[in-house]
Parts: sequence; C-alpha cells; structure tokens
Amino acid sequence: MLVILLMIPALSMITIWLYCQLAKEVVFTALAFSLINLVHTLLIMHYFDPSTAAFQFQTLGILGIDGISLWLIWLVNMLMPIVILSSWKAVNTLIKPFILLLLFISFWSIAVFMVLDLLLFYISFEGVLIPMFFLIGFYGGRNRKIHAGYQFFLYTLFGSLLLFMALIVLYIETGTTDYQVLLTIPISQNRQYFLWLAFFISLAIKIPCIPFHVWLPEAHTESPTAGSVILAAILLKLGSYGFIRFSIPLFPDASTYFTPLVCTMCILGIIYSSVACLAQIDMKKIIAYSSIGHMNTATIALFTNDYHGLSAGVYFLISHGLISSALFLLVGVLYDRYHTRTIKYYRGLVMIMPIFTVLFLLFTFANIAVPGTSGFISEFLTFLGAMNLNPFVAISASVAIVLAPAYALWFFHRVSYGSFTTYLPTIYQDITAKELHLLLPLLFFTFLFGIYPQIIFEPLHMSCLSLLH
Amino acid sequence: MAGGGKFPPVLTDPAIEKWYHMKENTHAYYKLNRRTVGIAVMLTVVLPAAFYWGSAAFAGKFQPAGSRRSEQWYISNKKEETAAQE
Repeated sequence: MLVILLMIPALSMITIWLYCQLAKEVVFTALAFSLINLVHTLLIMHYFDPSTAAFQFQTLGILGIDGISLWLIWLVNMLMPIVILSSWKAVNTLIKPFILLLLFISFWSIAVFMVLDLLLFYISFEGVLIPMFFLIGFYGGRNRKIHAGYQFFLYTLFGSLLLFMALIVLYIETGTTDYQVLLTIPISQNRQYFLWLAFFISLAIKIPCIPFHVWLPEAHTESPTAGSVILAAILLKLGSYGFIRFSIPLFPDASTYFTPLVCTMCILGIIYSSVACLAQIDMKKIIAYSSIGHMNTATIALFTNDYHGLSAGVYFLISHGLISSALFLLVGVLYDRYHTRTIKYYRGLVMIMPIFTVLFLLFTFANIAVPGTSGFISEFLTFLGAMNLNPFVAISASVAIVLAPAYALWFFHRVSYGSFTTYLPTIYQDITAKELHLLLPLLFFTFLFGIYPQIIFEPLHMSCLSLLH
Repeated sequence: MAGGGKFPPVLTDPAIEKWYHMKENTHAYYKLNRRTVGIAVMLTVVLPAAFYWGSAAFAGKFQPAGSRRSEQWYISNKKEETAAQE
C-alpha cells in the first residue's frame, strides 16, 4: 500500500515527460495524479490503527509508517495539488520541467517519511536537494537566485556528509542500517555522543538552527512561490523528522546529554530570528525568519522528553506547514500582481483587496498562536513540555510569545492599513477564485486542528509514548 | 526588481530602492569597530553562554508535574523535605 504512494508521483513524472506537451496538459495531469495520491493517503489514514506504536503497512521491510509519519505524509500529499495549481499561469517559461521538479521533490519527501532504513533515509534526504537547487537557481525571480541555490545546496550537502559519515560508523559497528534492528542494538555512550553530534549538525542545518540558518532567507526570497511553499512546509520538516525518528530513539543518552546545547541553540534561534524579522523589509524574508523561530520552538518541544512536548513538536510541524504555506501563497498573490515584495510599496491594501486582507489577518493570527488556531495548540503544549523539562528554557523561549505578534502584526498593519499607497498602479484585483481555493483548505485545516487537535494527537499518542526515554 | 507582473509596474521610488539595496547588503558594508565588536561579542559569546548556563544548570532540577500543593518544584528542596519527613 505504501509503495503506491511512491509509484504515483513516479508514474506521473513518466506520463508527463512522455505524453504531455502543452502547459495545461502538464498541470492537469500532475494535479490528477497528486489528487489520486491524496485520496490514497486518506485511505491509509482510514485503515491506520492508532492503538499501536509499531510501524504499519510495512512493505519489503523498508517502508512503514507510524503516527508521526502519517500526518507528515498527509501534509506532503495535501500540499502538492495546492503547489501545482499555484504554479499554473504563475510560471510562464518551461512549465513542464518545473512540474517534473515538483513531483520529484514530492517523491523524495514522501520517501523520507516512510523509509525504515538509515541509508534510504540518507538517499531520500539528499534526493530533495537537486530538484530544489534547480527550482531556486533556475526558476527564481531575481539576480541572486544562483547564489541562493548554491548556498542552499552546499549548506545541506556539507551537513549531509557528516550524516553519511555517522551512517558508515554505525554500519561498521552494528552491521546494519535497518532502523528497527538498530533500535534493539545498544550503542556505547561515547559512540552515541559522536554519532548524535554528526546527526545533529546535518539536521540542524535543515531545521535550521542558528548559526546554520543563513541559507534559508536567501532561498526563500529567490525561489518562486511554489518553491517557498515546499521549502517551508516540507523540507524544513525533514530535519525535525530526523531528530524524532533517528537521533532521539537511537541515541537516547546522547540526546539527554546534549539537550542543554539544543535548547540553547533553539532559544537563540527564536530570539535572534524574531528580532531579525522586525528589521526586514522583504515580505518573504519576514516569513522566512518567522519559520526559523517556529521550527526552533518545535525542536525544543521534541527534546523535552515529555509526552506533551513530543506530541506538540510533531503537531507543530503540521501546523507550521499549513500556516507558512498560506503566508507564502498570500505574498505570492501580491507578487504575481505587482512583482515587488518590498513592504514600503504596500499600504492600505484593505481598501482594494478586502478578502485578501481577511485571509492575511486570519493566517497572521494563526502565526502568532491565537487560540482557536493550530498555532495556539502547538505553542501551548510546547511550553508546557518545556516547563516540565526546564522552566528556564520555557521562560526564555516564551519571548517568542511577545516577539511573534510584534513582527507579524506590524507586518500585517503596514501592508493592510493606513492611507492607500501612492506606488501601486490604478488597476486593482482582489484575490481571484483560483487563489482563494488554494487558501481555503489551508484555512480550514488550520482552524479544524486548532479546535479539534485530537484528530492529530490520536494517531500520535502511542508513537510519542514509545519515544520517551 | 519591480515591474514585470500582470499589472502595470509599481511606481518605483529611487529612495526606497536604495534603502532596499542598503538593507539587503548590510553584510557587504559591515566593518569591525568598537561598537560592532561589542555587539558581536554580546550576541555570540555572552548571550549563548548565559542561555547555556541556564539550560544546563537547571536541567533536571525542577519537577512541577504531579506536585502537591505543599511540595516544592525544585528537586533539591524535595530531597531535604523527604529527609526531614523521614
């Protein structure tokens, strides 16, 4: 059953490559296949048994999902139709390779969340780099796109080399890279420290933790809207998934030992990224730095070794995937019209784009964790778990509760309210039906998960309990 | 940077473009002087050391979960209480 999740993107790539020529054919074929994959994911969710922490639907001994990977796979497959549709008529040149790159990323992303073998995880982890590099470096809109593409590629590759080294050491020591077998093999404490550090540097670059975050704002600003959505909603989750799937269960002693280090880096990430947000003038960079802060908050949650914290960490990944995607899509709406992301050029948009402003406000609320949205559940439980771990960490990280509304509401206010800007031309169009339909599912799930979070916590329950050490 | 969208281009302001360029390339004009070194040391050494000290010093020292009203959260105090009760 899980193989089909991989076969569908592969089949769609082959079909599009061989049979589709026109842009409309390419987009609709990709859309059809991604919707089939989404339906298949929903079927898997229907047959998923939440009462066990064991991997289910195991295939060939190398694929399997539990409560943690289930929702992450849902996130990928839910976002792919949205990303594909958002690219239609937004990407004017060479749409076919663009869609093929998106499907390639989808394939590797789904694989990352399903594989039960460390080597396959490494291959999938690296596999997303190359299509993303082309997405940023070729389809980016500005002068620094090639620089941003190289920066993204080299940063992640460097980290991944350390991961590969750790993989080799692990294989030499244990004789296997099978995850389920590795869980049963004890690893000495000193070896754990070394392996954990190697894993950590690689995954910290992906999260991204400060000081490894430099590639993210550049990559976001230079990539097209679809690339930004995939980067924020999917690629950033790979690092956190690596922590919760591999680092913490395989190296529990080292995870406990290095928790102060992780918490320190994450607190710095939250505070520095939030303050950096306040200084930004490019809309995408604000959301990019905001993503850094949120992902660091989620990482603190994962290292609390507390049930609430662990489940909050995974919940945070889903929630952030929805909210940041929506924010990037909203910025994309403006960029599609006026081809500028400088905040100074926008003011008083509520007068000409009221529906856009309402959606922007709702997602800003979700971003700052207003109750009723999924952002609130994730932040509340994160700080609950962090308080059980170390009140100093919880209090330091809770600076985000003050800084996030500061930059988010200021950003919203500058763009939406005030006297109408003199820089925009006199042709206006509020959000179109297509753009609205891209955002409505994200809005729906943001509020659904905020009002009824049990829908995510139920499958997570046993998996998170099994991670406690 | 501006222009090339579906609609007529934004009426660019040279002052805003220059300000944008300045903000985007702050790193190219960064120089080490007394002020910047002080800020750099504060942000890269002092603050990280302070947060690491707090994260490490208080790790495992608090146990708020399941505490009764009369109990302290700080584990060291808990040990003294238990010893006193015994």
